[in-house]
Parts: sequence; C-alpha cells; structure tokens
Amino acid sequence: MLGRRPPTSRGVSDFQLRVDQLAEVPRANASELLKLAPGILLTNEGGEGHAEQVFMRGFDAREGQDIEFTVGGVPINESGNLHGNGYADTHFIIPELVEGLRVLEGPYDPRQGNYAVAGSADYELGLAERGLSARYTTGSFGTERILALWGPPGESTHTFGGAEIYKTDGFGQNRDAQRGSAMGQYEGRFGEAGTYRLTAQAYATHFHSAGIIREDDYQSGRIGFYDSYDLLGSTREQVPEGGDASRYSLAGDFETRAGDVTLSQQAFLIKRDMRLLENFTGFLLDVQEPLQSLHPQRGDMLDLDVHELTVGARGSARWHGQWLGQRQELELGYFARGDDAAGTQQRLEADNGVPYKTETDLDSQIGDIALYGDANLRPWRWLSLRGGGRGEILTYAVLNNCAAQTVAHPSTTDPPIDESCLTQQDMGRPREPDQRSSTSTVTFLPRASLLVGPFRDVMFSASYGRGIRSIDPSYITQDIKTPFASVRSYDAGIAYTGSLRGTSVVARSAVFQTIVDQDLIFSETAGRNVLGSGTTRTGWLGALRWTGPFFDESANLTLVSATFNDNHQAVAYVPGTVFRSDTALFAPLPRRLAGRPIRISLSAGITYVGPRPLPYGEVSGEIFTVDGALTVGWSHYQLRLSATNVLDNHYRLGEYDFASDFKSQPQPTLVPEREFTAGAPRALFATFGINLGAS
Amino acid sequence: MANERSLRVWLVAIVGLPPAIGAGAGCVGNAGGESIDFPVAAAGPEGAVAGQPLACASDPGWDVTLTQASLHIGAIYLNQAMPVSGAQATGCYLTGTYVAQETSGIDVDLLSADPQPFPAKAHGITIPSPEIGEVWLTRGSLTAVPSSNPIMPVLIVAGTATESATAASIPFTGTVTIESAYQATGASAGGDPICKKRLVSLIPAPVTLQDTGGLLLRVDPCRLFIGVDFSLVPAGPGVGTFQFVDDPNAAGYSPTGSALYGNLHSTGPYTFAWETDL
Repeated sequence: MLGRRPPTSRGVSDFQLRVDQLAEVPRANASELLKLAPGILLTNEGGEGHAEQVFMRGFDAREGQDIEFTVGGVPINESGNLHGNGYADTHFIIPELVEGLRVLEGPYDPRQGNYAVAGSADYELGLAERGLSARYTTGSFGTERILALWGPPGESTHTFGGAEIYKTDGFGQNRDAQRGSAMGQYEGRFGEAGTYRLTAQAYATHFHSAGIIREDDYQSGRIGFYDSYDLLGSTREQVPEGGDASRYSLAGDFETRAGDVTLSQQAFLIKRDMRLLENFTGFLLDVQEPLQSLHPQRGDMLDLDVHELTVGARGSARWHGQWLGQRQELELGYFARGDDAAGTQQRLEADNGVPYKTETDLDSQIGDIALYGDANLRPWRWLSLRGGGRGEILTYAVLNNCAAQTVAHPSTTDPPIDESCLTQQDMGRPREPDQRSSTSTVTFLPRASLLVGPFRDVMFSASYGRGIRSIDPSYITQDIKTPFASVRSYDAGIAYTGSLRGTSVVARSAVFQTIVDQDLIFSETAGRNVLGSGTTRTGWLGALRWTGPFFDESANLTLVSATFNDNHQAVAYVPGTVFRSDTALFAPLPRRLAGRPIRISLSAGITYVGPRPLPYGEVSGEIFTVDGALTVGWSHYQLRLSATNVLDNHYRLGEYDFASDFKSQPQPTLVPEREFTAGAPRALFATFGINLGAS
Repeated sequence: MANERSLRVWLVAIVGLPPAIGAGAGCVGNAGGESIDFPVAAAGPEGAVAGQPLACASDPGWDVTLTQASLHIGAIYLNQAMPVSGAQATGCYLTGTYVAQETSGIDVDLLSADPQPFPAKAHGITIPSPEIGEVWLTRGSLTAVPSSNPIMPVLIVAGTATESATAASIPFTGTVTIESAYQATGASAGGDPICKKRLVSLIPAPVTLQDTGGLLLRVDPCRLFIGVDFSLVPAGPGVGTFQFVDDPNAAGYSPTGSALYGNLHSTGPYTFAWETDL
C-alpha cells in the first residue's frame, strides 16, 4: 500500500474532500468537483475550452486569479496570462481520475502561494477502479465522448492512465467544441520508506462560444435565448468567438522518510498555449481616431493569444518529535517557479476577420520563489497551534513590444497613420516601438491556526493569514513598489466529526472575513481584469458530509457580504447565497442476474445561487438547477443515464451590466445595459461502460 | 446515545449560527446607482406657439421672423464627464461614461414650445450624473454616407429677415444636409470625420436623472441666425427670394451657409432640463 500523508488541517475551512460515491453525480468537468466545497459558483461566458469563472466565499475569482489551483502540487494558474494573471484552466483534468481534492478557503497554510487570496484547491489524482475500462457517452446536442482508463491491479491507485476524446455541437448557436486529454501517472517505491510519482499530461481543444446576449434584444425578440450575435446577419463575425487551448506537462516527485524527517521534492515543466476570441461589446470601441483612415465601426472582437512555459520545483523537510508527551512537527520548505509568457491582443474586423489593431504585445519573465516554515505545536492533546510564515519574492521583466500607442503631436509630414505600435514621440521624434520595464518585491506572509479539541467529537478553530495575488504584467512599470494585491483573512468555526448509527458525519460552521487592498474588477472593454479599490468579504459557511453504507450526502451553504472599503457599496457579480447538495444512493439489487449482483445508484446535484448585485443598481436572477443520474452495473458492464438541468430552467448563468452595441437600435447603444450568458438547457446523456481485468 | 445527544447539540449550534452571525451576509447589496427608462421630448423655445410665426430678437442687426423651423434629431446622449482639453479630438464618442441615450429619433417643430415626445423612452443610469449632452443630427448611421435614402436635410428653415437700419426685408429659406459634401476629402487620416460634423457635443446638461419626470431638450431656432448677415444670403430660385447654400463646396456657402451650419453645430441653441411633469 503506497500513498502520502494527508496535509495537516488548518481548521474548519480546510476541506479535504474524497469524491468516492459522489463521482456518480453528473459533472461536466473536473472544475465542478469544486462544488463539493462551500461557496463555490462556476460560470463560463467563454465556451467549453475557456476556464470556468469561479466564485468562492464572496470572491469573484474570475478564471482562477484569486484561487491557487494545483494538481498533485503542480501549479495550474498561469502567471503572465494576458486574459487574467493566474488564469487557471482545469479542463485538462479527466474528472474520473480525480480521487479527491483539498479546498482550503482562506490563506491559512504557509504552503499556499501566489493567487491564494480566496483560497486554494489541490486536485489529487487517482483511479480506484482497477483494470481496463472503456466508456462511450452519447447524448444531447450531438455530444459524444470516448473514455479509456486503466489501472493495473496490484499497483497503487495512484498508478493509472487515461484518455478521452470529446466532441459536441453544443446547445443553441456557436457552442461546438472538441477536445482530447490524456493523463498518466506511475507511483513506485523510493527506497525503503518512500514513494515517487511520475506524471505526464496532454490536452488540446478547439471550441466556439456564443458570447453574451443583450437583455433588451432578447426581450424584443431580436435574438433567441441560446443564440449568438456572431451568427446574426447584422453582427455576423467572420471569425466567431471561441478559441483554442493546449497544455502539456511533466512532473516528478518523491517523498521519503529518514529518521524523524520526511523529505519531499517535486519538479515540473508545463507548456501552455491559448487563443481566445471574445467580443463583449459588439461594435462600440472602434471609434474614429485622428491617426486612422476613415472607417466605420469594424467590430470589437478580441483575438488574445498566450504562450507560456513554466518550470518549477518545490521541496520540504518535515521533522517530528515528542515534547510534553505530544507529537510536535516542524517543516521547512520552498517553492520556485519561473514563467516565460508571451501575450498579444488584437482587434479583428467582423467582416473578414483581419486584425486591424494591436492593443497589447508583451513578453514577460516572471519569477516566484518562496520559502516557508510551518510548525504544528501541541502543548496538550486538545490544543494545536499550526502555522508559521512564508517569505516570497516576485520578479518581473517585461518587454512591451507595443509601448507607444498614442502620440499627442505627431509629425506633420509623416504622421503614423493606422499604426498600432508607434515609432514616433511628440513632434515626430523617432523612438523604438518597444520598451522594457522590470521590478521585484519581497513580502512576508504570516499564517496561523489554533485548533482546540476535539471535545465530544467537536473541534473549534480560528485562523489568520495573509495572501497575495501578483498583478498582470501589463501593469508593471519600472521599479513599481508592490506588484501584487494583498489580503488579510480571518476565520473561526466549529466542526463535528463523529458517527451516527453506523454512519459518518462531518458538520462544519465558520464565520470569515477577508480584506483585500486592491481588488480585480472585470472590464468588458479591456476584455480582462483591471485593478480596483479595496474590498471586504464577511460571511458564514456551513457544510455537512454524511456517509452511510448506502448513501453519501454532501451539502453546503455560504452566506456572504462583499463590499468596497471606500463607499461600502456591494461588489458587483458576487452571489450572497450559494447552496449545493450532492447526493448518491447506491446498493445492490436483491435479485441477481446470472448469479452476479446488479448494482444500482441514483445521484443528484442541486445548485441554488441567490441574486447577485450588478452595476447600476441592477440585481441578477436566481439560479436553480437539478442534475441527476441513474447507473446500473452488472458484471463487467455499466449503463448510466444522466440529465443535467432536469427541470429545463431558462436561467442566466452570467449576468452583467455594461455598455455594448450590437446594432440593435437605430443609433449606437452607449449606455450600460443588462447582458447575460445563457445557462445550458436540459441535456440527456447515456453512457455504456465496460471494465476488464480487475482482480 | 451520548454520541447522538452530542451530535444534536452541536448540529443545533451550527444551524443556529447563521441568523446570529450572518445578519447582512447573504443579502443582495446595491453596487451603486440605478438603471431607469424615462421619456424624452424636444421643443422650441418657451413662448413659441405652434402654428404661429416666431419673432426673434436675438440679433441687433436683423429682426428675424421664422415661419418654418424643423429639425431632425437622430439621437440624444448624456455623458458623465466634460472631457479635458484636447481629449475630444480623439474620436466620435466621448471618453467618459455615457449615462443616458435616446435613440429613436424625431422631427421637431422648433416653432412650438410644446414638448414633442420621442417615440421610445430613453435608457439611463442615475450614477454618475451627467454633465454634458450630445445631439446627433443624422437620419441614420452617424458615420454612413449617405445616412438615409433618399437624402434628406436635418434642418429646414424659412422666414423673413428685416434689417433694423434699412428696414430691407429678405425672405429666406434654408436647409442643412450633412452628407458627403461634409465628408473630409483628401486627408489621409480621419481627424475630421463626418461623425463629428453630425453631432453637437459638449452641451451643458447638469440634470439629475430620476424615476419620475423626463428629459426636455429645447432648441432655440433664433440662435441659428446669430451673426448671419442676411444681405449676403444668395438669391433663391424664385424671384425676390434668398436661400442659404447647403453645400460646403459650392460657391456662396460662406459666409451665410457656413454660419447657419456653424450655429446649428454649436451648443448655443440647445438647452437640457429635467421636467418633473413630462
């Protein structure tokens, strides 16, 4: 039996989640496993290959910018991604290969690094179903998926391989997608008391996205709920919204014990490429400029391209010994990553897809090196003081290849007509179009948790921590002092871990507050996040996991208030209430077939998201969805019928309020107006699976 | 049993926490401001009576009596910020946040003081408050040439101007058609696009958008003739008539035709107000 020691809990808001039977609940991808933790809302305005926008505990973490995502300790956040610094696309993870995940809500563990503002999520890969498995899924909207999994019997559950091929036409218009993903991992012995893991992964996708719909256009019947402006006559885009993404990575690690010290070391190499085509504003931004040839509005389509190479490592040594009759622990460790990122953003003409303007062209080298110390001190059996500190240095070297985009007084004889990246300064003096800037900063992040108990299976905890989020390289200017946003987070709660008539119960309740000095606010005109003012989140979360011999239930509720520090107005788009329930019922049927048992399971996932404040006093609608599945297994075979959005609710997954012009009125629409992205209608799927070779 | 009792006690404690601690959390806050739809109307100056000539006393050299003054307004916009000096040269739209728009278009009888409502309500936001307004003088797209088919003027005026000193009377007609003749020619850059010829910008609009009432734009046609020397208006097609030239490239456009357009394109004739009983 191989395996690793689970991470030390940081209190009530540290969720070390086993997927187990809840894997039966329908989930489109690995991101949706996050919903097992409280306060998580996932939206997606960019299509199936676009990272989910994650809301956690009152944070609009966008596509991961406020959550540190890792898989087996390997970073997923992309430093230097132009769409959003810290963009985290988890679609490369095959959900059937997720054994569990640790969601730590808040920055309370010294191991948590950059982006751990709302918290962190670490996927643990594994395959419980040994042998060779193949599954074929078909269903609504021309969706087909082929999945192959293998885990040699007798080997660790962390030794596995898997691959999937997926295609769909998507619901409504312009939501088709194709993707392929492969993951393999081998876990073996390392000496007498250690293990090592080698992991390889490949993923590529091509997809389209319907984009947003203006509420007034939908209400007037000009466009359908699931339609796309990109395919509408007057706003047709030669190159519609969507994109491409790929990720290839290699990682290796080992963990071994030497005396009282446990050593671990990991190294990883990640290649990531991404292209996103998005148009939030229609035909609004391409106004006639003095140094442009006469032109009409050519369209606001953003063509964003990112290429990134990440290399890094982490390691630690954890000592344990006895003092005051209790086990005491001390860990020292480091984390290091270097990112070489290139990003461009251009605007495309709607009529022919030709780029007409380069807005951004950056080459960035970003360094992130941290060391930390973490103690687990137990003066008494019922009291633990856990935590320590983390020191981190962030370095930026940015080459802006398009540094000069305006000139107040151009040359009168040779004005730079229709040029994006100018070679003129004031009065026509020459300059190169590029410019370098670099900076660095060092920060110290204290983190501590106090755990008291258990008393009669009840544990109390209180935590404090500081976290950081590095800022977008586009904001780097020479020697800027603090190229990151900083948060302070507090948390206190109680947890019950016990048993009830042969079932296992874990119930938690916590209050929390997080204060951010510079928050990120989404700008639809820039097509990415921009820096805003400080914010505070205050709220409560409750969670229940109840597991018995024939059922598994996970339910959680989060209530939160998110406000700006200066005017105390609500932070737009953040839901105040998020509820999620995952339920699985499973049992063998009393009758056998050909002498073999028939296994059956019923599962359901219920999501409720309360109204969200929108800009300009608007309030979004609620989201209520029910997903369900019925799985029947016999011998080596499995048949699964699943449905998402069983009630077929017409719901708006994302709702916004900003200025856009999709030529829906006689004159341009320049005033902020409601927009939305449509949630998926009811979809039905059937999966047939076979498993061979399991012992 | 002890375990069950313990579980019950703590579950109650857990469930009981939200009302105590979560007060305020979970509620939907206000992210600021309000979105509203409101009526918009346009009218001539106060004192004008529909169906009757309008006597103008705004020019000391000429007594002008208007018998016709019709203006087509394609759209009205209100913007949050007065642009800093020079920034307005950047494009057709202002750089600040647009806070209200009326896009349905209307032909306004400027000889009537009665509010003439636009066909559709305007849409706006209450925060930030507007500082300036724009009147778009186009029948179609702001940048399209021609903006409509058939081409039609945005302004039609007729009346009589009497010189104060000589009592000479000059019956006149005039139109302003902002189409291809106003398009910048020969320029390699778009620093003077037609959109800027068609929109009247930076009109003071210190109004407060509210749930009740509406926006009233008054256009004073008398101010279209400030500085116009009617003695220089070219002769018209009829005997004894005079007509403003409506083509910047034609002879006789300057100074009177250009003055008429210049006044139409200036902020002087336009006044925004919020009327609670609109």
